[in-house]
Amino acid sequence: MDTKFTTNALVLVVAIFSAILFLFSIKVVDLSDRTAVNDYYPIEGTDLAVRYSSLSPNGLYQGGQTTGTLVLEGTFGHDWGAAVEGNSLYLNEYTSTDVGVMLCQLVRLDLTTHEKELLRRDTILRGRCASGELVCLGGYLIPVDFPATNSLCRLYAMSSPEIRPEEAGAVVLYLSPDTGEVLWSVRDDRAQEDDFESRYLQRTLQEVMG
Amino acid sequence: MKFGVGIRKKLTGADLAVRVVQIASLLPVLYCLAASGYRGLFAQRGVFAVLFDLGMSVLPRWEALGLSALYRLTSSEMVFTFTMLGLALAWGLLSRPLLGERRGVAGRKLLAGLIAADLVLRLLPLRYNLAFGSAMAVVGFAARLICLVLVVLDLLAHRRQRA
Repeated sequence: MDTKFTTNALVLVVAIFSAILFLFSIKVVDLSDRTAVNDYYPIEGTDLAVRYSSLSPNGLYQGGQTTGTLVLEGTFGHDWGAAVEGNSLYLNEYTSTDVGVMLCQLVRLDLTTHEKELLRRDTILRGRCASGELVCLGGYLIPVDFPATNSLCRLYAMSSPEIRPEEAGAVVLYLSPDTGEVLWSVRDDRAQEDDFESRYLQRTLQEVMG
Repeated sequence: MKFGVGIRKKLTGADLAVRVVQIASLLPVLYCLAASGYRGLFAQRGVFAVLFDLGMSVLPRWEALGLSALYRLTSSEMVFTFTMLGLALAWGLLSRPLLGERRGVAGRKLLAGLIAADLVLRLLPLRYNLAFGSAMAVVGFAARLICLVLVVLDLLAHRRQRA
């Protein structure tokens, strides 16, 4: 009996079944995401709009709802995060893993060249505070994929000390709208609760720091 | 009843340890597969808790951390799973040349040291470190202890042979 063959063969068998399971998982996720959509959300202060569509690629479109041209492909957020400052557009981008776990990141788009720059991973832009700074949540995971309900998200969370899934906490970040640099941050275990707007967005940075 | 009839090569403690490490290194992959197949499977338990429950050794725990970093870089379950499987297979194929006659003693000492370190680590009072908290953990601890004894016996036999 050659036990070396047995263990190596075991690895090969696991590899084959892994490939089958992954292909199956991806197909299932793909099939379950067949809802027909064609949504169009203009971004205030620009001639750009976020489009989610089953017929054309998701992304940022320039121009009218029917005649718009694709500027940048991707899944961008329109509800919370879109802030224009000078020639820069800050917005949330959602990226999907192989089996559908959604992650979010903060990106900056140059409105002239339409080049995208990744500013922070695992961060979601919530808006601007009363004094104009961008207010974000760092170490953020989308609630539907939160580690309490998704083991892969938990594995992902292990890669960053900022993400603390067990405490459902997050870091509130204040970013300079001119440079995108972090001006001030504070950890808040209640950051993902409903009163975020009154505690952070409706106050100036000085008030929050004080 | 005779056992081991037809065995071409005697299974030494070092060989067994190689296989234990190789199989143990599959556990994070199996965990990921389970998690992708049924997301609620380990919902009530953290990764560390699950790994420690399974009685996994230091290597798979480091692997899990490495996998999480790779996951963050690629956002791809496929990449990190097949990277892990490739490493496990490479370890199985390369272990014999690495632990051959020339470097056999050094390799066995290294294995003995790693297993001993792992056993000591299991006894440290860490948050999830319940060395005997579940039946699987006890089995895992015992399996590695047996491996350590076998490797040490290998080394002693080799020393006697040379003497």
